[in-house]
Amino acid sequence: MAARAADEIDTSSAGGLSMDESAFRELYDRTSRPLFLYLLRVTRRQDVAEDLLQESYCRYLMSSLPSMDEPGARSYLFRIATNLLRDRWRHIKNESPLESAPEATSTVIPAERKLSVRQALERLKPRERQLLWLAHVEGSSHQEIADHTGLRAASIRLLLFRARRKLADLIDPKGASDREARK
Amino acid sequence: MRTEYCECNKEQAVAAALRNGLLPEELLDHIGVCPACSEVLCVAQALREDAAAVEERLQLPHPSLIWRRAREQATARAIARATLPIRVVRICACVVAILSAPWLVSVLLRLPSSMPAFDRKWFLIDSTWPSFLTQTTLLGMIGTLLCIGLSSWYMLREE
Repeated sequence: MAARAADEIDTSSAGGLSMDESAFRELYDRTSRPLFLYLLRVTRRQDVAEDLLQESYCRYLMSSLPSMDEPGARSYLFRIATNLLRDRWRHIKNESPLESAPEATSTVIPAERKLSVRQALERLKPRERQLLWLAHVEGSSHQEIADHTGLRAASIRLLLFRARRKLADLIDPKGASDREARK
Repeated sequence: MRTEYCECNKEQAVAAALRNGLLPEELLDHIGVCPACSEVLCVAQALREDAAAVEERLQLPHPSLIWRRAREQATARAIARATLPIRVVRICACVVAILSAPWLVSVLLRLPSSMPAFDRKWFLIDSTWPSFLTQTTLLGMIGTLLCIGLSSWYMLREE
């Protein structure tokens, strides 16, 4: 019976998936780069980002949702990826603090020292990197970020503000002092 | 670290202008005097430059790999769904076997003393047969037909 079920799947056009292979390739070409960048910057690991990217598309293909336009598909993929990130953080919380915790957040950085964006991002918590990336690279609204992350929309504003300030202080300490003086 | 909250209603406009790659003079002037918007500019510009730099050397997994993985997962899911009734019946059979074992043992232990009655009640087709059919056999037949119907529906249903 199991073999028969597998045969039935193989003979169908998309094999139980939500689209055929050529449509998937088109979608992948258009949406994979920003999604991979997001995963790469939030996880900081190529292997993890690749795995989560693959799993995101697999779940998208296996979903039984009606066909959607490109922005809808892209938004849905980001939501799946964000859920996978959240599951991963829960899973590794006690196992590998290296990935879930910020690196050396307690280190005091001299005001004149300017960090590269990559180094600065590494000092943020994964959640902060995620919020900043969605807001400033993907251009997601607060409501969209809330939908993706499962946080309350009202909390996004404050969390985003804190993350932004933290990053601004890290990448441009002198500018931070100037901005402070302007208030 | 500075923690006091400050917000500007032009933050979204600054972010949108940066995404479009076009900052109008009016917004630039505003950024010069607004700490919140200058922070948005600083962070958004840095992140976008970083994204552009990483994107140049980005090595994406090949789509055929993902397609194959999705097909494998879909196949596994379909097999799991198709064999669910078999697994359920197997579990039910195990539970029934475990639950009926003590009863069976007690019946076997009492068998010699009840043998004469057993012969008369179970193996002779006489006037007691129709009542036996009504109460037990009929119930068993209905249950069996119901299970066959339900499992057939489950196997043949279309999502």
